[in-house]
Amino acid sequence: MHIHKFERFWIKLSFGLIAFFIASVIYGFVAMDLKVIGDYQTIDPQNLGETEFGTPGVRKVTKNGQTEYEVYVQTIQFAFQPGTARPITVPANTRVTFYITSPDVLHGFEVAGTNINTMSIPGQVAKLTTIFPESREYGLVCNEYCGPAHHIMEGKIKVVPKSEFDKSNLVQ
Amino acid sequence: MTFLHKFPKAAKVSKANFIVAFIALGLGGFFGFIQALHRTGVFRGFFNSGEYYTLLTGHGVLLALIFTTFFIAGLFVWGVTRSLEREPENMTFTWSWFWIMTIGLVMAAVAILGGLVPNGSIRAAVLYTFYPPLQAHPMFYIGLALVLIGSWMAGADWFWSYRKWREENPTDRIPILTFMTLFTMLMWYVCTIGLAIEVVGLLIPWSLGWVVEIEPLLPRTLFWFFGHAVVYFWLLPAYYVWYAILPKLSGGRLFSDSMTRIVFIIFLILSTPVGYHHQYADAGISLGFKFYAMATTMLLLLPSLMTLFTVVASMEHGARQRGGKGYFAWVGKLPWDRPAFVGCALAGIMFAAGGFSGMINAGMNVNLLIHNTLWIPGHFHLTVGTAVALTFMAISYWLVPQLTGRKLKFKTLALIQPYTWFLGMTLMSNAMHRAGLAGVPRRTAEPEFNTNAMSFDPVFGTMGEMKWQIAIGGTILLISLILFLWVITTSWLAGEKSDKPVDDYIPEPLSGVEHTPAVLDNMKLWFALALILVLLAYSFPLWEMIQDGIFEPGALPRPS
Amino acid sequence: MTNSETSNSEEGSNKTLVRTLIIIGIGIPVLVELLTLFNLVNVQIFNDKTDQVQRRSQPDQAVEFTEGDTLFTKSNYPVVISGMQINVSAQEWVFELEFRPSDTTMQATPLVKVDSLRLKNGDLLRRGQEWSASQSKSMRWTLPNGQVPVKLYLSGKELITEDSVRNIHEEVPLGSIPVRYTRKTQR
Repeated sequence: MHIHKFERFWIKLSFGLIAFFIASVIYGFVAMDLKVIGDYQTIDPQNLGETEFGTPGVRKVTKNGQTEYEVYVQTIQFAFQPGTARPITVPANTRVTFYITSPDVLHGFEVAGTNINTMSIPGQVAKLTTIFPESREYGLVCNEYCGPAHHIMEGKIKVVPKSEFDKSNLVQ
Repeated sequence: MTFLHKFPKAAKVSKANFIVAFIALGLGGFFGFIQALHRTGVFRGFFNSGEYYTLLTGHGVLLALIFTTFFIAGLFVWGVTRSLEREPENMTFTWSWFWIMTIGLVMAAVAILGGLVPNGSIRAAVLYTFYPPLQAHPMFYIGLALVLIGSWMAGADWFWSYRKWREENPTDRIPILTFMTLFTMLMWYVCTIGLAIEVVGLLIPWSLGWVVEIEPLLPRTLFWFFGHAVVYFWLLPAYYVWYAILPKLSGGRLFSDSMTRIVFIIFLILSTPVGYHHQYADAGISLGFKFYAMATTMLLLLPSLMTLFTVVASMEHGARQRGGKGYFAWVGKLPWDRPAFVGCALAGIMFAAGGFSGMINAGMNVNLLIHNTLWIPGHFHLTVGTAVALTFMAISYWLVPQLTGRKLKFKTLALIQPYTWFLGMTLMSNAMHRAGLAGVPRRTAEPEFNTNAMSFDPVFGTMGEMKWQIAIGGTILLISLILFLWVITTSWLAGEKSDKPVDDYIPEPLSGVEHTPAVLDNMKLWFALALILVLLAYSFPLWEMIQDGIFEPGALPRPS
Repeated sequence: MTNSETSNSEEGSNKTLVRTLIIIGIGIPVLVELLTLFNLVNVQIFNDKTDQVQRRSQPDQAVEFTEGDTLFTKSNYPVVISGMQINVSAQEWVFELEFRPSDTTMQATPLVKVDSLRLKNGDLLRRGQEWSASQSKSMRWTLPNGQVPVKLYLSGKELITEDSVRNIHEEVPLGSIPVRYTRKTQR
């Protein structure tokens, strides 16, 4: 088979580019600690009441002697619980782990302008951990079509300085 | 003598497919225009925000599934008939697949548009990805299944022609037009396995109420088994045009026959095992498989980059035949006054841009920044919305005269059309990408925050300026679409009759089929390889999902 | 090799057209993309965060009423929004509103009325509902699909003497209203 020498050169260049892209993703994983969710953990979407999702909200946990927070969020048609009626309030510079699932249809859980972005699938639990570096408010968006009032579904995450974090609203 | 006179039966089939395709294009494009004004808030008077999703479903299904499938069928009928020099083997069979597809399309369209009837019970506002547990009327799923079955039969029709041709020409190489058709259809057979299982095996029984619960992740995964390869099902016919016809339109010949075949083989092999790259943000699919899909996706860059090389080289050859000189000056010698050429060339340029935003999408962890934001529609309006759609429109200026035996009317309007499409799409897509970076979601009637006094923070620019850019871009696109439909309709009905309405001769490639290794034509080998790669990617995750019961963990249906 | 369908007379005007088309149809897109690139690089290199933080400071939030809030607080017949929800199904959007008398409602007689609803798109839904402030009252409106009320217009009618009535009008900007899926209209 005849391959023109320019074309050979071009194909080599292409492989280089592909390798570079894959390497950049690996670099993100290893050096920048960018995580992608992937655990397979199922849950019965029709009986969330019997699980931690039955009392959604922010919980305090201690892991390795460190205080961390866990947030259980139910995405329902058409609200984040918590998040919509009341903002999800968490302290800055602290590990926060979100557990997200849905009792009805697919939803999205996107903290606007950040890479905290996951699908909320009935039957699956999405788990993602982050540390909010600064105290500010973030918009919470449902970014998967979930029904006729999809565009109304939104919420807020309020990150407050560690010292001002009010622990009386935590869920036990 | 043009195609119509040589193969009148096939021309009729092609024309029928094109008519359906162009009606779908007009309707779907008009819905798109309404959406561009509605979601930006520029004008929300056409429909209310609850009906937006019905229109959005119509836009997606009519353009992404119907326009493409029917146009591709028409194009392939033309190509197979022409390159094998034989009419379809059995016209009853040929027309039956056309009508099955058409009946399916009508059923799906009625189910969707039923959503605009007040208090109607027939609805299908589930968008073109139709993720359960949102449920559409059974007619929607049955219609889609019929379109799918019709497309399978169409593929079988072309294989049938090929078999008959092979009996008469046992030693010839597969002509390049037929080769590209058959490999595209092989890929289609591989990827539609997922869709068929999803729609026929899960969604139709569920929408009819035979089973009540459904596990949302399983059909979603099956959808994306099909859902990325379908992108290549749209794209490969555009490549087909770029490889087979564009070199001729630019005054030259195809650069290399063997490279063309290799590119199509790579697409057959790699198109399907990439589906998880639409599910990077899903729980329930392990990282390893997501990584495998990402590596495969990145490898798919290779055939596209090779295409870039071949297409540019072929065009350069054409330009030099026309007297082009220098390293870059030859570009000026290309026929920038021929609508068919201009459309294909601009579509190709935009595909390069779309390819780069696609690389961002493919990067597993970078993807999360833009997953399900407006960036995504921004991306695929460059690829399917321009690289594919504009190529199809442009090549219609060259094909429709051959099928109708009439010359093109309003050539000036036809020339303006691809330039306006390019302009409108750049404006719209550029702003969509930028809005997506700020976190503006896709698929929503009202992307702004309603009550919480929040706003999106663009990296630069303002939200208002992006909204206007999208609305203006969408309007220019509608104008371009109207120009296209006007030119095609008038030429079709009232163009000057001619024996030779266009120059339809296609010259041989520079590096011809005699340099092409025979193994490249071994369809069984490549098909088997494709199936193996699909099994590697999908068998374990699907098994994991169904081992606790096909419909477990089950969720209840929600009418859309 | 090349076919010349266009005759020479057309060629001249055609050239100008092509030139114009290239300038507008390709020139503007290239400009837009270059501008975007410039801005992106600019933001990356001279990232002026201060500007962004300032912009993020919230505008003064107007008082918005939600479930549990009291209306007509200045009068002697306050009423409480005891329920407020939008029930959405595939076919219709229904806004449900419930009032109950406040614990401090003194007078038994005054009539309260919801005159109209202002929707997000600016439309006004008129359909007055009148009731006695000392009782509970629930009411519902069918909304155009996809629309959300943003403001309530209420009026209160207080009998001062036998033949003199004092009217109070109140505009009530509504805060976030829970929107829930309902299966009700489904057979």
